[in-house]
Amino acid sequence: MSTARTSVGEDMKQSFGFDNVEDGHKQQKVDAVFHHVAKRYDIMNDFMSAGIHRTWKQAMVAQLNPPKRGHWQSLDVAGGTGDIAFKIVEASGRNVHTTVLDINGSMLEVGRERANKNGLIDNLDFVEANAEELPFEDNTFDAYTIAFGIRNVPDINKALREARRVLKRGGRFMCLEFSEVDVPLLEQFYETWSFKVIPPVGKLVTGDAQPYQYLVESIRKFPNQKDFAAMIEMAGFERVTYRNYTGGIAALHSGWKL
Amino acid sequence: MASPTDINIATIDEGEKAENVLLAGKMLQLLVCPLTKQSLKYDKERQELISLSARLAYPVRGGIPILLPSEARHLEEGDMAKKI
Repeated sequence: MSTARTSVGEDMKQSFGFDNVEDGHKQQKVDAVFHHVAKRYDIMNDFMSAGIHRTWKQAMVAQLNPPKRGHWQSLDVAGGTGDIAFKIVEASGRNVHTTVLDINGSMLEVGRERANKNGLIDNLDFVEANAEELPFEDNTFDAYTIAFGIRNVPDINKALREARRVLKRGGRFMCLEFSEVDVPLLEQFYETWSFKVIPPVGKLVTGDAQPYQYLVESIRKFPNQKDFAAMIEMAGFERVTYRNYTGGIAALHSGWKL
Repeated sequence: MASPTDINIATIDEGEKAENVLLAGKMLQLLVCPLTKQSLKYDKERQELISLSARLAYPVRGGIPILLPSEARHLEEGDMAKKI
Protein backbone atom coordinates (compact mmCIF):
# COMPACT_ATOMS: atom_id res chain seq x y z
CA MET A 1 0.00 0.00 0.00
CA SER A 2 1.24 3.49 -0.80
CA THR A 3 -0.33 6.90 -0.30
CA ALA A 4 2.41 8.86 -2.10
CA ARG A 5 1.64 10.74 -5.30
CA THR A 6 2.75 9.19 -8.56
CA SER A 7 5.73 11.08 -10.05
CA VAL A 8 7.27 11.56 -13.50
CA GLY A 9 8.52 8.33 -15.04
CA GLU A 10 5.96 6.29 -13.11
CA ASP A 11 2.53 5.24 -14.21
CA MET A 12 -0.55 4.13 -12.29
CA LYS A 13 -0.71 0.64 -13.80
CA GLN A 14 -0.69 -1.10 -10.45
CA SER A 15 -2.28 1.55 -8.31
CA PHE A 16 -5.92 1.07 -7.41
CA GLY A 17 -6.47 3.85 -4.92
CA PHE A 18 -3.90 3.31 -2.18
CA ASP A 19 -3.80 -0.43 -2.85
CA ASN A 20 -1.49 -2.10 -5.30
CA VAL A 21 -2.93 -4.58 -7.75
CA GLU A 22 -1.14 -6.90 -10.16
CA ASP A 23 -0.25 -5.56 -13.58
CA GLY A 24 -3.24 -5.97 -15.88
CA HIS A 25 -5.81 -6.05 -13.06
CA LYS A 26 -6.49 -2.34 -12.61
CA GLN A 27 -8.83 -1.96 -15.57
CA GLN A 28 -11.36 -4.54 -14.43
CA LYS A 29 -11.44 -3.06 -10.94
CA VAL A 30 -12.00 0.45 -12.32
CA ASP A 31 -14.69 -0.92 -14.67
CA ALA A 32 -16.54 -2.38 -11.70
CA VAL A 33 -16.54 0.97 -9.88
CA PHE A 34 -17.99 2.84 -12.85
CA HIS A 35 -20.56 0.19 -13.81
CA HIS A 36 -21.73 0.51 -10.27
CA VAL A 37 -22.03 4.30 -10.25
CA ALA A 38 -22.93 5.05 -13.92
CA LYS A 39 -26.50 6.22 -13.33
CA ARG A 40 -25.56 8.33 -10.31
CA TYR A 41 -22.26 9.58 -11.68
CA ASP A 42 -23.18 13.26 -12.06
CA ILE A 43 -24.99 13.36 -8.72
CA MET A 44 -21.92 11.82 -7.17
CA ASN A 45 -19.69 14.48 -8.72
CA ASP A 46 -22.02 17.19 -7.44
CA PHE A 47 -21.78 15.78 -3.97
CA MET A 48 -18.02 15.18 -3.96
CA SER A 49 -17.15 18.61 -5.35
CA ALA A 50 -20.08 20.49 -3.81
CA GLY A 51 -21.28 21.28 -7.34
CA ILE A 52 -18.05 23.03 -8.33
CA HIS A 53 -17.16 20.43 -11.01
CA ARG A 54 -19.75 22.09 -13.26
CA THR A 55 -17.89 25.41 -13.08
CA TRP A 56 -14.54 23.72 -13.81
CA LYS A 57 -15.97 21.91 -16.84
CA GLN A 58 -17.54 25.10 -18.12
CA ALA A 59 -14.18 26.87 -17.76
CA MET A 60 -12.44 24.07 -19.66
CA VAL A 61 -14.82 24.35 -22.60
CA ALA A 62 -14.53 28.16 -22.57
CA GLN A 63 -10.73 27.78 -22.83
CA LEU A 64 -11.09 25.33 -25.71
CA ASN A 65 -13.43 27.74 -27.45
CA PRO A 66 -14.77 25.43 -30.21
CA PRO A 67 -15.43 27.33 -33.48
CA LYS A 68 -18.93 28.41 -34.53
CA ARG A 69 -18.10 27.94 -38.22
CA GLY A 70 -16.16 25.45 -40.31
CA HIS A 71 -15.37 21.78 -40.01
CA TRP A 72 -13.94 20.85 -36.62
CA GLN A 73 -14.08 17.62 -34.70
CA SER A 74 -12.98 16.62 -31.26
CA LEU A 75 -12.61 13.46 -29.24
CA ASP A 76 -13.77 13.36 -25.64
CA VAL A 77 -12.12 10.44 -23.87
CA ALA A 78 -13.60 8.84 -20.75
CA GLY A 79 -16.57 11.09 -21.42
CA GLY A 80 -19.29 8.45 -21.09
CA THR A 81 -22.13 10.47 -19.67
CA GLY A 82 -21.55 13.19 -22.27
CA ASP A 83 -20.98 16.09 -19.90
CA ILE A 84 -18.03 17.70 -21.69
CA ALA A 85 -19.15 16.74 -25.21
CA PHE A 86 -22.57 18.40 -24.77
CA LYS A 87 -20.90 21.57 -23.53
CA ILE A 88 -18.49 21.60 -26.49
CA VAL A 89 -21.29 21.16 -29.03
CA GLU A 90 -23.42 23.84 -27.35
CA ALA A 91 -20.49 26.28 -27.08
CA SER A 92 -19.97 26.01 -30.86
CA GLY A 93 -23.62 26.83 -31.55
CA ARG A 94 -24.10 23.17 -32.53
CA ASN A 95 -21.48 23.48 -35.28
CA VAL A 96 -18.77 21.01 -34.29
CA HIS A 97 -18.76 17.24 -34.09
CA THR A 98 -17.59 15.37 -31.00
CA THR A 99 -16.89 11.67 -30.58
CA VAL A 100 -17.50 10.44 -27.05
CA LEU A 101 -15.27 7.52 -26.12
CA ASP A 102 -15.43 5.48 -22.96
CA ILE A 103 -14.27 2.00 -22.00
CA ASN A 104 -17.44 1.58 -20.02
CA GLY A 105 -20.67 0.69 -21.83
CA SER A 106 -22.87 1.64 -18.85
CA MET A 107 -21.55 5.20 -18.85
CA LEU A 108 -22.00 5.51 -22.65
CA GLU A 109 -25.61 4.36 -22.46
CA VAL A 110 -26.35 7.12 -19.99
CA GLY A 111 -24.68 9.65 -22.32
CA ARG A 112 -26.48 8.51 -25.45
CA GLU A 113 -29.85 8.50 -23.76
CA ARG A 114 -29.23 12.09 -22.67
CA ALA A 115 -28.06 13.12 -26.15
CA ASN A 116 -31.31 11.76 -27.60
CA LYS A 117 -33.30 13.76 -25.07
CA ASN A 118 -31.43 17.05 -25.45
CA GLY A 119 -31.37 16.87 -29.27
CA LEU A 120 -27.58 16.92 -29.64
CA ILE A 121 -27.30 13.41 -31.05
CA ASP A 122 -26.57 14.61 -34.63
CA ASN A 123 -23.38 16.28 -33.43
CA LEU A 124 -22.17 13.27 -31.47
CA ASP A 125 -20.85 9.74 -31.88
CA PHE A 126 -20.42 7.21 -29.12
CA VAL A 127 -17.66 4.60 -29.17
CA GLU A 128 -16.69 2.04 -26.58
CA ALA A 129 -12.90 1.74 -26.61
CA ASN A 130 -9.72 2.00 -24.56
CA ALA A 131 -7.81 5.29 -24.14
CA GLU A 132 -4.57 3.29 -24.49
CA GLU A 133 -5.62 1.84 -27.87
CA LEU A 134 -7.66 4.43 -29.74
CA PRO A 135 -9.58 3.15 -32.79
CA PHE A 136 -8.78 6.18 -34.98
CA GLU A 137 -6.26 6.99 -37.68
CA ASP A 138 -3.37 9.37 -37.06
CA ASN A 139 -4.08 13.11 -37.42
CA THR A 140 -7.87 12.87 -37.13
CA PHE A 141 -9.03 15.36 -34.48
CA ASP A 142 -8.73 19.10 -33.87
CA ALA A 143 -8.95 18.62 -30.11
CA TYR A 144 -8.71 15.86 -27.53
CA THR A 145 -10.40 16.40 -24.17
CA ILE A 146 -10.44 14.25 -21.06
CA ALA A 147 -12.08 15.34 -17.81
CA PHE A 148 -11.63 13.40 -14.58
CA GLY A 149 -10.70 10.33 -16.58
CA ILE A 150 -6.97 10.05 -16.98
CA ARG A 151 -6.22 8.97 -13.42
CA ASN A 152 -8.36 5.89 -14.03
CA VAL A 153 -6.29 4.84 -17.06
CA PRO A 154 -3.72 2.19 -16.09
CA ASP A 155 -0.95 3.31 -18.50
CA ILE A 156 -1.17 7.11 -18.53
CA ASN A 157 1.93 7.61 -20.70
CA LYS A 158 0.55 5.30 -23.35
CA ALA A 159 -2.78 7.16 -23.31
CA LEU A 160 -0.93 10.48 -23.76
CA ARG A 161 1.00 9.12 -26.77
CA GLU A 162 -2.25 7.89 -28.29
CA ALA A 163 -3.80 11.31 -27.70
CA ARG A 164 -0.98 12.95 -29.64
CA ARG A 165 -1.16 10.40 -32.44
CA VAL A 166 -4.85 11.00 -33.22
CA LEU A 167 -4.56 14.80 -33.06
CA LYS A 168 -3.93 16.82 -36.21
CA ARG A 169 -0.90 19.12 -36.34
CA GLY A 170 -2.06 22.24 -34.55
CA GLY A 171 -4.47 20.17 -32.50
CA ARG A 172 -4.94 20.77 -28.81
CA PHE A 173 -4.86 18.40 -25.85
CA MET A 174 -6.82 19.40 -22.74
CA CYS A 175 -7.07 17.50 -19.52
CA LEU A 176 -9.11 18.41 -16.45
CA GLU A 177 -8.21 16.39 -13.39
CA PHE A 178 -8.09 16.59 -9.63
CA SER A 179 -4.70 17.83 -8.54
CA GLU A 180 -2.65 19.03 -5.57
CA VAL A 181 -4.12 21.73 -3.34
CA ASP A 182 -1.62 24.55 -2.74
CA VAL A 183 -3.54 26.59 -0.12
CA PRO A 184 -2.75 25.38 3.45
CA LEU A 185 -6.14 25.85 5.14
CA LEU A 186 -8.01 24.58 2.13
CA GLU A 187 -5.72 21.58 2.05
CA GLN A 188 -6.68 20.58 5.61
CA PHE A 189 -10.36 21.00 4.94
CA TYR A 190 -10.10 19.11 1.65
CA GLU A 191 -8.24 16.24 3.32
CA THR A 192 -10.95 15.88 5.95
CA TRP A 193 -13.73 16.21 3.38
CA SER A 194 -12.11 13.60 1.10
CA PHE A 195 -11.26 10.93 3.60
CA LYS A 196 -13.60 11.48 6.56
CA VAL A 197 -16.77 12.73 4.88
CA ILE A 198 -17.08 11.42 1.33
CA PRO A 199 -16.79 7.63 1.88
CA PRO A 200 -19.17 7.40 4.90
CA VAL A 201 -21.75 9.77 3.38
CA GLY A 202 -21.42 7.92 0.05
CA LYS A 203 -22.22 4.75 1.93
CA LEU A 204 -25.26 6.33 3.56
CA VAL A 205 -26.60 7.55 0.22
CA THR A 206 -25.78 4.56 -2.02
CA GLY A 207 -25.19 1.77 0.50
CA ASP A 208 -21.60 1.32 -0.61
CA ALA A 209 -18.47 3.19 0.51
CA GLN A 210 -16.01 1.31 -1.69
CA PRO A 211 -16.43 3.26 -4.98
CA TYR A 212 -16.05 6.54 -3.07
CA GLN A 213 -13.03 5.27 -1.18
CA TYR A 214 -11.42 4.38 -4.54
CA LEU A 215 -12.20 7.79 -6.01
CA VAL A 216 -10.71 9.82 -3.16
CA GLU A 217 -7.63 7.60 -2.98
CA SER A 218 -7.05 7.70 -6.74
CA ILE A 219 -7.24 11.51 -6.58
CA ARG A 220 -4.50 11.58 -3.97
CA LYS A 221 -2.30 9.21 -6.01
CA PHE A 222 -2.44 11.25 -9.22
CA PRO A 223 0.74 13.19 -10.13
CA ASN A 224 0.78 16.85 -9.09
CA GLN A 225 0.52 19.75 -11.56
CA LYS A 226 4.23 19.96 -12.47
CA ASP A 227 4.79 16.23 -12.74
CA PHE A 228 1.75 15.74 -14.92
CA ALA A 229 2.84 18.65 -17.15
CA ALA A 230 6.22 16.91 -17.52
CA MET A 231 4.49 13.68 -18.52
CA ILE A 232 2.51 15.52 -21.20
CA GLU A 233 5.77 16.98 -22.55
CA MET A 234 7.37 13.55 -22.53
CA ALA A 235 4.56 12.36 -24.79
CA GLY A 236 5.67 14.95 -27.37
CA PHE A 237 3.28 17.84 -26.71
CA GLU A 238 4.51 21.42 -26.91
CA ARG A 239 3.63 24.68 -25.15
CA VAL A 240 2.36 22.70 -22.16
CA THR A 241 0.69 24.86 -19.53
CA TYR A 242 -1.69 24.41 -16.62
CA ARG A 243 -3.98 26.50 -14.49
CA ASN A 244 -5.41 25.69 -11.08
CA TYR A 245 -9.07 25.78 -10.21
CA THR A 246 -10.28 26.29 -6.63
CA GLY A 247 -6.80 26.37 -5.08
CA GLY A 248 -5.56 23.35 -7.03
CA ILE A 249 -8.37 20.96 -6.13
CA ALA A 250 -8.56 20.59 -9.89
CA ALA A 251 -6.14 21.63 -12.63
CA LEU A 252 -6.56 22.14 -16.36
CA HIS A 253 -3.53 21.04 -18.42
CA SER A 254 -3.15 22.06 -22.04
CA GLY A 255 -0.67 21.06 -24.74
CA TRP A 256 -0.36 21.32 -28.51
CA LYS A 257 0.72 18.95 -31.26
CA LEU A 258 2.88 21.23 -33.37
CA MET B 1 -53.14 -10.18 -36.08
CA ALA B 2 -50.14 -9.26 -34.01
CA SER B 3 -50.75 -8.10 -30.47
CA PRO B 4 -49.59 -4.58 -29.55
CA THR B 5 -46.66 -6.10 -27.65
CA ASP B 6 -45.39 -7.90 -30.77
CA ILE B 7 -45.51 -4.73 -32.81
CA ASN B 8 -43.56 -2.95 -30.16
CA ILE B 9 -40.80 -5.52 -30.13
CA ALA B 10 -40.57 -5.52 -33.91
CA THR B 11 -40.31 -1.72 -33.97
CA ILE B 12 -37.49 -1.65 -31.46
CA ASP B 13 -35.60 -4.33 -33.37
CA GLU B 14 -35.91 -2.59 -36.72
CA GLY B 15 -35.15 0.73 -35.10
CA GLU B 16 -31.91 -0.53 -33.67
CA LYS B 17 -30.85 -2.11 -36.96
CA ALA B 18 -31.58 1.08 -38.86
CA GLU B 19 -29.62 3.02 -36.29
CA ASN B 20 -26.65 0.68 -36.62
CA VAL B 21 -26.66 0.92 -40.41
CA LEU B 22 -26.78 4.70 -40.21
CA LEU B 23 -23.95 4.65 -37.73
CA ALA B 24 -21.82 2.38 -39.86
CA GLY B 25 -21.86 4.78 -42.78
CA LYS B 26 -20.88 7.78 -40.70
CA MET B 27 -18.44 6.12 -38.34
CA LEU B 28 -16.65 3.81 -40.73
CA GLN B 29 -14.60 6.63 -42.21
CA LEU B 30 -13.44 7.51 -38.73
CA LEU B 31 -12.89 4.15 -37.08
CA VAL B 32 -9.93 1.80 -37.45
CA CYS B 33 -8.92 -1.38 -35.64
CA PRO B 34 -7.49 -0.32 -32.25
CA LEU B 35 -4.74 -2.96 -32.51
CA THR B 36 -3.52 -2.66 -36.10
CA LYS B 37 -4.92 0.81 -36.95
CA GLN B 38 -6.08 -0.71 -40.26
CA SER B 39 -9.50 -0.09 -41.77
CA LEU B 40 -12.65 -1.98 -40.78
CA LYS B 41 -15.46 -3.50 -42.81
CA TYR B 42 -19.05 -3.48 -41.64
CA ASP B 43 -20.95 -6.76 -41.67
CA LYS B 44 -24.60 -5.69 -41.72
CA GLU B 45 -25.96 -9.20 -41.12
CA ARG B 46 -24.01 -9.85 -37.98
CA GLN B 47 -23.71 -6.21 -36.91
CA GLU B 48 -19.98 -6.48 -36.58
CA LEU B 49 -16.98 -4.40 -37.57
CA ILE B 50 -14.44 -6.70 -39.13
CA SER B 51 -10.70 -6.21 -38.82
CA LEU B 52 -9.10 -8.57 -41.32
CA SER B 53 -5.62 -7.50 -40.22
CA ALA B 54 -6.27 -8.49 -36.58
CA ARG B 55 -8.69 -11.32 -37.50
CA LEU B 56 -11.24 -9.88 -35.11
CA ALA B 57 -14.93 -9.00 -35.36
CA TYR B 58 -15.95 -6.14 -33.08
CA PRO B 59 -19.62 -6.03 -32.04
CA VAL B 60 -21.99 -3.09 -32.54
CA ARG B 61 -24.62 -2.99 -29.82
CA GLY B 62 -27.47 -0.50 -29.67
CA GLY B 63 -25.70 1.69 -32.21
CA ILE B 64 -22.47 1.81 -30.21
CA PRO B 65 -19.42 0.11 -31.76
CA ILE B 66 -17.35 -1.73 -29.17
CA LEU B 67 -13.73 -1.51 -30.27
CA LEU B 68 -12.32 -3.59 -27.44
CA PRO B 69 -10.29 -6.67 -28.40
CA SER B 70 -11.58 -8.35 -25.22
CA GLU B 71 -15.15 -8.06 -26.56
CA ALA B 72 -14.32 -9.14 -30.12
CA ARG B 73 -14.95 -12.49 -31.80
CA HIS B 74 -11.98 -14.26 -33.35
CA LEU B 75 -12.49 -14.80 -37.06
CA GLU B 76 -12.45 -18.37 -38.34
CA GLU B 77 -10.84 -19.40 -41.64
CA GLY B 78 -14.34 -19.57 -43.18
CA ASP B 79 -15.10 -15.98 -42.12
CA MET B 80 -11.85 -14.80 -43.64
CA ALA B 81 -12.56 -16.47 -47.00
CA LYS B 82 -16.03 -14.93 -47.13
CA LYS B 83 -14.79 -11.45 -46.37
CA ILE B 84 -11.95 -11.49 -48.91
